[in-house]
Amino acid sequence: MTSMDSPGESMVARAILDAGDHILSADPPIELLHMRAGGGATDRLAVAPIARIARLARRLGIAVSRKVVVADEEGDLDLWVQARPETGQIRLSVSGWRDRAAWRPIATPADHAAMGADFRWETDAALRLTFLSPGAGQRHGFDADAMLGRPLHALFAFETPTGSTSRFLADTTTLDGRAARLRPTDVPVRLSAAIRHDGMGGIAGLFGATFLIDEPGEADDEFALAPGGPPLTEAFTAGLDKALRTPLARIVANADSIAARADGPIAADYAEYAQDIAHAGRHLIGLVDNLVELQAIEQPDFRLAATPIDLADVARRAAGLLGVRADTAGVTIRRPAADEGLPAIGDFGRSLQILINLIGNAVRYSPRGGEVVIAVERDGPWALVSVADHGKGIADEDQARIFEKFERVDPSEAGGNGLGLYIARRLARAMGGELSVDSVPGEGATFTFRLRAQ
Amino acid sequence: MAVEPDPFEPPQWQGAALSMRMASARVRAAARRSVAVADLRLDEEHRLTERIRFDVTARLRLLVETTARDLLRQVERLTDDGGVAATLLPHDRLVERLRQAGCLTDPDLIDELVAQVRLTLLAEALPVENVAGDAPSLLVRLTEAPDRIVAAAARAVLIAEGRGRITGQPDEAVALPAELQQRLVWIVAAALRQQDDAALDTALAQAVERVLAAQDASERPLAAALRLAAAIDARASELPELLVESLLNRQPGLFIALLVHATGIDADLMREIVLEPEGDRLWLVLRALDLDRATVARIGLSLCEADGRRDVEGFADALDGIVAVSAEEARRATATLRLPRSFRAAMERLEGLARR
Repeated sequence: MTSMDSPGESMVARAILDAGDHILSADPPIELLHMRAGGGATDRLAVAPIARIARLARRLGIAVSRKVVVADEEGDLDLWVQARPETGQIRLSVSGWRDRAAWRPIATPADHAAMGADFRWETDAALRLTFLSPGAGQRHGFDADAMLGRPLHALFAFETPTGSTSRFLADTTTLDGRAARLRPTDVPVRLSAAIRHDGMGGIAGLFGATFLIDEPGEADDEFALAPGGPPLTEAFTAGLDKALRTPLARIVANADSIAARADGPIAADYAEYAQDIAHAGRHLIGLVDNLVELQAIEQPDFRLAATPIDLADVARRAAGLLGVRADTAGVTIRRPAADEGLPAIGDFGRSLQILINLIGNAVRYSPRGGEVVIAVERDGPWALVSVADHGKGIADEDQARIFEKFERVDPSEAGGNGLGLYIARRLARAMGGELSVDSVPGEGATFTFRLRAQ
Repeated sequence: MAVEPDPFEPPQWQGAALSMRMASARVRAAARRSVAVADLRLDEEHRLTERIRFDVTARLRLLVETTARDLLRQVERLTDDGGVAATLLPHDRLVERLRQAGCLTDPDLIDELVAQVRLTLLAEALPVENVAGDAPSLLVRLTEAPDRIVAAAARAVLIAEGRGRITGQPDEAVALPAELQQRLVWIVAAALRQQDDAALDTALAQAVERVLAAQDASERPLAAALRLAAAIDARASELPELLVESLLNRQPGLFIALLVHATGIDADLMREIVLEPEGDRLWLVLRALDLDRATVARIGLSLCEADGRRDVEGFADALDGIVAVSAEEARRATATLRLPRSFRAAMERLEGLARR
């Protein structure tokens, strides 16, 4: 499969167009887009949305920046395009180069107040406060009017120093759920924030929400269900299952039929909202499934069937099931050869579940054009399957953490709820096996699933 | 518009009441038919979007309920009677009663609220751009200006802007121009009374006077931005940059205020001009200020990107023509905009443009 060399999000590709929109010079990514859109070497720029921006900039005589969606072979790309007219030519700079963002749970909804937040705030690019919810000062003991225009850290004291603005902003993903103190009253709070982008994908400011922490120590527990919380009881998960699954399924079904315009034409915006609702609903159903499963596997006497299985066959099947997703992500999966076999003792269905989880993760964290390698091996009394990717890898200090409940390999990544690896390891252990990780940050990660050999 | 059930006690299913039921059903059916016709007759291009309808209705409800609460508090103080609320119409039925009596379609009130909502939506939709590099945004920089009047006025805009957002909090009212505020308070007072009660009426009238007296004229919309624009008193050479940066910082209120100060055009009219999707009057106002091609292009581009009703390609086509208009010509063409409001309204009435 030929897959576009992904320049990564931070890369800026440049091109120069002449007065007739013909490409005088272009970095490979733009040239590739042009060729994919059917353009030849001497043609006008064939990527319609970008050409439109270039023409607009030429006619207005000023720089025009816009976010556009461009169809690429594997899907849609979100691009930030700037066209700047200069002596009859147009200079294009294009950044972004990422697939359209998948739905992800975020702590701060785009607008209309973060749900349940005690107050909201906004800053400009220099992290100066430009907005505080009316009445926030009175309720929480500070002078909100005087706070406007002051730096964010005049209001919040962060546990770790925020350093320079740029470093802080580069690190905003970790601002989600970040613990801080309200400086004027020294009250502990939890902050969550999202970046507001400008026309070139740069940072124009933050908008965030503040949650007061009532219970001492809550600052350390992201979720009520985090390790150390009360164990899930059977009655609780059964209730959760019953209370949530049916309404969620109905929400998803209705949202899907609205998005499909089943009941007649509606505005495109609303169809997109409906799609978002359906995505979010599916995410929640997945979470309910996992919580129900969690309840079962957390019982002290949880054991799984021990029957002879062929682990190489299980790995091939799991890889086959994820083939479409890998294609979409532009990732190649190398699976064990068809004649390879690896006898082991375990539960077929659960082993398949573990490998789907591992391969799915590997695909998700692989760069476009990357490869996921699945290898099988006998090691003394053990039968081993390893799943290796060339993603960004996992830091040493995170390697234990990712097997815990509600932890993620990369919390900023879309999809997943932080239960997959926890469940996978519990399942592996319930079969008398083990699940471990080995990783060099920057070079990728290798997950190894082992079961007793026959 | 849905036809609501009759708020008054419905007649029983017996005897003579049945014909009353039939009669009111006929009235409702007729109303429903005419509303359907009126709705379909609306011009798609000028029709309010659901978002605007929703926000305007929410503002209206908030206004009525806040006013009613203020009045009730005063009436209780004046009559020294905590039980007086029971004799007044409950708040949840107030909006409905006013709506049925047609009191909430006061054209000036609707104009004002629609303009407020459109301005808020414009502010949300304007593409942001950080033109200041590492420096803070325009308003924040102004709060640190050496000129203390400018600094205080800029801070007041930041504060007012935060308050202006609909928060749903009961202590946050929607700001209205004084004359509209006055009409609204009286009509709410009238709607609150349920029967003739001379003492209560007197108390209500006094309560209205008190509520109106407590109104701070500075709370009217755009007041803070207008004061800031006056404090900045931009020179012709400074104006283009300020105008462009105010839009790039999502401060359309300040943009309007800067234009008001520079042109002497009335603030309400300038807001209407800035919000209208065709932009013809705005382009001429900008040319009357002798703004150059790049500035007009930047302003036009920002507004087009923020408002789906605007046609950026059409603007790009027209730009050369717009810039070719001399400042003098543009000033002559926009001279009527600077006439007194009543004069303009009278002229519109004669031209048959005014409402009904």
